[in-house]
Amino acid sequence: MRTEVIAPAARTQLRSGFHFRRLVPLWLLLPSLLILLFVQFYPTAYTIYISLNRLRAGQMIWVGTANFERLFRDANFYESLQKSFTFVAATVIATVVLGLLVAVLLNQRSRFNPFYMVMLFVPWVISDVVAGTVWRWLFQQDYGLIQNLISPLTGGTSLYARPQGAMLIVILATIWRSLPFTSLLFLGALQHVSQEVLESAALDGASRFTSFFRVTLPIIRPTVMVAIILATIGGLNSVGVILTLTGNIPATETASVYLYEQGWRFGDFGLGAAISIIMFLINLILTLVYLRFQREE
Amino acid sequence: MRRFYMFLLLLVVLLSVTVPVAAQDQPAITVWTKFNSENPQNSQDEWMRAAIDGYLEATGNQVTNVFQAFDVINSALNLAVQAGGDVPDLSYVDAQFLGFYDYNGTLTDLTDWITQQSWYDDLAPGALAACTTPDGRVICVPTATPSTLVYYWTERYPDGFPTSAEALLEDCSRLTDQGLYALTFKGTESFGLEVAYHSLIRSSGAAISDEEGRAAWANEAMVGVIEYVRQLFADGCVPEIALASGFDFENSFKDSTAGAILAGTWTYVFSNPVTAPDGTLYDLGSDSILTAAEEGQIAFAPPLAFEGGSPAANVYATAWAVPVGSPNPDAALAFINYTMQSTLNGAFGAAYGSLPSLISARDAEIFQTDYWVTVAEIMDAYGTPMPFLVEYDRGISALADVFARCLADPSLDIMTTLQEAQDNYNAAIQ
Amino acid sequence: MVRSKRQKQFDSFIVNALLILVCLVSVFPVAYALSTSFKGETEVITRPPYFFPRTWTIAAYEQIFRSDLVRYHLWNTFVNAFGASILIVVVSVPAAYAFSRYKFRGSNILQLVILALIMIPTLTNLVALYRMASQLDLLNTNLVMIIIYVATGIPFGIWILKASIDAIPTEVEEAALIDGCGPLGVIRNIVIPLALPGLITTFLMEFVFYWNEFLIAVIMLSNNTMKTATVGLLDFQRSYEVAYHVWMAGSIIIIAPVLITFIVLRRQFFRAMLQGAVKG
Repeated sequence: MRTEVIAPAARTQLRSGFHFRRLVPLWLLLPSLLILLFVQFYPTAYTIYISLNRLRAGQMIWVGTANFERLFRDANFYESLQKSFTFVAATVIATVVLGLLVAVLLNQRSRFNPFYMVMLFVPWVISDVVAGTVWRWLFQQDYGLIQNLISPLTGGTSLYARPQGAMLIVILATIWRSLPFTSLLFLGALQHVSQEVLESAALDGASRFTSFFRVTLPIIRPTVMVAIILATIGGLNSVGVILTLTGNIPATETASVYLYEQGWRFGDFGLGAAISIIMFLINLILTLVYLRFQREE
Repeated sequence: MRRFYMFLLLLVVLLSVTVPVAAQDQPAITVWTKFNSENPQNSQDEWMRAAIDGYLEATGNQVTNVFQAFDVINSALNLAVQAGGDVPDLSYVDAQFLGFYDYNGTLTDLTDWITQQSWYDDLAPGALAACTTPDGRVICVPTATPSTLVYYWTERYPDGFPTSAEALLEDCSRLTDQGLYALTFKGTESFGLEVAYHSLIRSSGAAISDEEGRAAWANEAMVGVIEYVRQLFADGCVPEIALASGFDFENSFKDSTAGAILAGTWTYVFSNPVTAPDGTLYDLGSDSILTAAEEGQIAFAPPLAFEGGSPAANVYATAWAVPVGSPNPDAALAFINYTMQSTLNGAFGAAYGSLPSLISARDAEIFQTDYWVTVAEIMDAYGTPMPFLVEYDRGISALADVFARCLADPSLDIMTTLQEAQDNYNAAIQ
Repeated sequence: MVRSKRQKQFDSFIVNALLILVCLVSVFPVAYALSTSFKGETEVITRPPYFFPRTWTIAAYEQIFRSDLVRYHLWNTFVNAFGASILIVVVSVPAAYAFSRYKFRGSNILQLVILALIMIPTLTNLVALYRMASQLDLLNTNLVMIIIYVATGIPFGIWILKASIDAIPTEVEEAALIDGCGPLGVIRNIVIPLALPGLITTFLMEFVFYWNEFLIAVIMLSNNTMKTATVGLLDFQRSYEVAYHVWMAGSIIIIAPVLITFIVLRRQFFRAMLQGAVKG
């Protein structure tokens, strides 16, 4: 593929001057790279600097690793990491499993009913803040419609005011919001699984279930990886849905909410930056794992 | 290629032209408040709007009000000063943040200015004290002195609201037998700690802070308070929604399924409409609860306290303050002066749901009703300053979180949780 | 292994039933929000709750239309999201073209870095960005929002657009180059028309994303006239008053524009997505 593609560029190079022709890709990339340099790379470096300082009366005061030491002594921070883990694990597993199911269902049909597709995609266009507000209303203790339906099952207690219950609602709302996009990713991948492969598997006597797990799933594995990594990172950094659904209560204080509180509620920029660095490293490790997987494919 | 860059440049320029919607007309002063004067929703907002309009009429000076949510305005002001953000000329502040502002150097010293003002001698001593730092500097101008008390439905408590927390448990079993709640309150976040738990903590003898503004929570008395509140929830005296965020807990008082609410003097402004136990609906906006009180359906009591201890009615003050870095401090002071006229100060108190800070303003007819007389009595008898914590919001939130954790998980060891939170807070302020 | 006709009909019935169930779950919360928004103040606090309003009223919408949400926030949201999405597409197309058609040293590394940037979220940069914005006096402006949105949206834009440009055959471009078109001429005359579904999909995804963006906005914007709609909705919840019917009306107002945009552009979106615009 590559060699054919290079042809047009080579011809430009013949026409243009020597310096310009080698720099064409650079010129095309320049706007993007400049923006990324100033608004992505520089802030990351600056965050490291802030994490080694303390902000007092507008002045940065060098404190070395004091912020990190405070953070590592802070039981609330470990607890918030734990909550992030629970939240991410639950949302990712449920989203991927349900997403596969929905994609397989949709794939059974030769034509996609636009009505279904739009209905299915409603949660995708909804902001996390709006989703949080709406779900909060569904589970409101006294007047929430769903809370009222389930209260005979829970013995009249409210899901919303219990720690596990609050976490459960946040997880459900997040799954609800991320399911459509994940399903569509999988559907796109399923459409590219050739019919012949499936038919030959069927001729070998494989049931539909075994052929899905033995044949289809390995083929769409890269897409599954994309979905997992996107959902993981989205979950790690989710703030809006938690703030609107359960507010500042400790039960749903994940690491991202903890960062928001420390940095902007209490104005502790040094500690906020230190938490940022830790979360950045977690994200970076996940990304590297993903890129490694990808290279193996 | 050049055309492409010209196009990019043009797009950026075009987009930035649409930007300065607010920056077009240079306002004389910008003030941050928790009142939404642009789009008034309640009497507090209406007052702010009237003050701005009146000031413009009286002096020709424009005041631009920037609305901030009530639970973030103090932190946001400090953050703006510390990080060098958009600092307003003047801001609303809550005086319980005094230690926090003093520690961070957020506010301008107003001592010399305030002593020269004509209304200085008219200020209620308690109000002025709320704005005075331990070393005697005045860093804010008090405008009203809200406090805390209990509202209760008389039909639910025919013999009056119990005078002690212990006695409340008996009323609770009586009311839960009828399928009702004894009371409701906000059980989480800093608001819950101030309004619901502060009086219980003080009357139990537990400390919240030491003289240096450090946390001193890990004591047996505090454990006793949390155990008592645990029992309230375990016995079903309080709706569980009290442990969620927001103000949904008020609903059970509004429809009188809860017999009482641990309230602030301002609660009647927001908690409406209300339905009495006999089914009467009071849908009169801010006047709903006051009308129900005049008709004898609702009565008022001092904050909930343990036997042997004195109830603690919070000494709050709403105030004006000039942040460090205020672009136009003189114009800000002129506006403070305008709002400190006795009539306007009285109107603010009435609109906010609080006694005003000027003694002369308290003489207005509106503050002679039963409600305000009761409030004044409670404040005189039980007024208790708020705890002094140098990182007030962080400290109060952390303690509120201990309550929330221990209440949500009855198996959690209270002392350990308190100790952890205390150590953590004290490490943060070093 | 040919399945019987009856078996097929049964399968199809099950598939349809499950899909309808999924659709219902998707739509139900929004439908309930819609019906709540037409209830009155006393009806939202009636026990037990019910779905349809007994008396339909637009009181909640009257309140919303008077509020800052409609007066300022929606317009700000539109300016930020639309401005950023357009700029992202404009800047990403040449970059994606460069990655797709040119071979140069560092190309693969750069692509990996950009892919990694998608995975690294803005949250961890926000402390530094806030400090930078405050020092440049850019807090509370649409400009700072657009700049950050563009920077966070470009990696995703390049990733999707490269996939759709890769899918275009190169013969036409070669002819155009012989005719003396420069690289930008090729992009404008050939790549853009041919990759249009990809462009529209990128625009739509970025627009939906930034219309709904909350975290950057809540941190950078404290001035009420500059806030975006999601921050405004949180402000409603942070006020003392509990008014679920008004909050629901606000939610519906925020959802409506972006849902309509989605319905209008859905064909290109689904086509591009099913062709594998986002792939591993």
